Amino acid sequence: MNQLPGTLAPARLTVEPPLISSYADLTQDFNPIHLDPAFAARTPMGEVIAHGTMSIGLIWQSLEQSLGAAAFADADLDVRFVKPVRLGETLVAGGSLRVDEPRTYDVWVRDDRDNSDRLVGSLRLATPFTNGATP
Amino acid sequence: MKAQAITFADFEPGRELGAHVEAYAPALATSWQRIFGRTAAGGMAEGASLAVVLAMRAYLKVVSPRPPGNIQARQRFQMHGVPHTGEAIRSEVRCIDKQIKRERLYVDLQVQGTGEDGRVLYTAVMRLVWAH
Repeated sequence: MNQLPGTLAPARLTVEPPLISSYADLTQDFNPIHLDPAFAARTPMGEVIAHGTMSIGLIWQSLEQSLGAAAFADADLDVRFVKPVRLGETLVAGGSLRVDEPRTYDVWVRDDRDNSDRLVGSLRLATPFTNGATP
Repeated sequence: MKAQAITFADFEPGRELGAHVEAYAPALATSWQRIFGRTAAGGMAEGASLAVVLAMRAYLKVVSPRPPGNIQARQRFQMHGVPHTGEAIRSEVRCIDKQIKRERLYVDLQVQGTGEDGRVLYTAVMRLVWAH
């Protein structure tokens, strides 16, 4: 069995207002907390925030860049959105292979400026996935 | 559902809320590429991302109207098979749990997507913080 890489390749995305609008159109999620600054200012968030699932798209990009198409078969992603993504942030997704669970990566999406987490979780790959090879 | 916004009290764990059928249309892929770039167009990341998008669209269609200000706290996404372009996907939405923790209202919804040939494509569990 080939060795899985210790880390997942970074995938990046800068969050600007047109991007949030485009993602709202894509998901049909027009929650004003993502789109209406006046509404968002009255919430605990204080300002508009990006859709959480946008960050999941970055995790999938990181996975494909690192391990190719075979990694998606029965992949099990479990993430928590630990901090809201705000306008102007550049997100970077990545992952680190767990030492005690050889088919599971700790994954994250972070603000590239200060490396603080926006999303954290795990990505478990299927048995008997091998690096880049079809099971 | 009802004309007034669905509240936390309306959710019944175990209850199926409805289903939504939608095609993985080429226009969705084009929209995705505008956001994430064309470098990986047609790849598995695109298909997996759009599976997440289709799960979201199904939830938003079935569980409506919603109060403004809901946010998602957690998501588990089990990818059983990536959908094909043009394939119609049936997504069933079910409430599987609800809890109040530290005065926050948490609702767990499961969305399961099935492809045209009956194969299960994904099972998503979204933990949402319901606004009221």
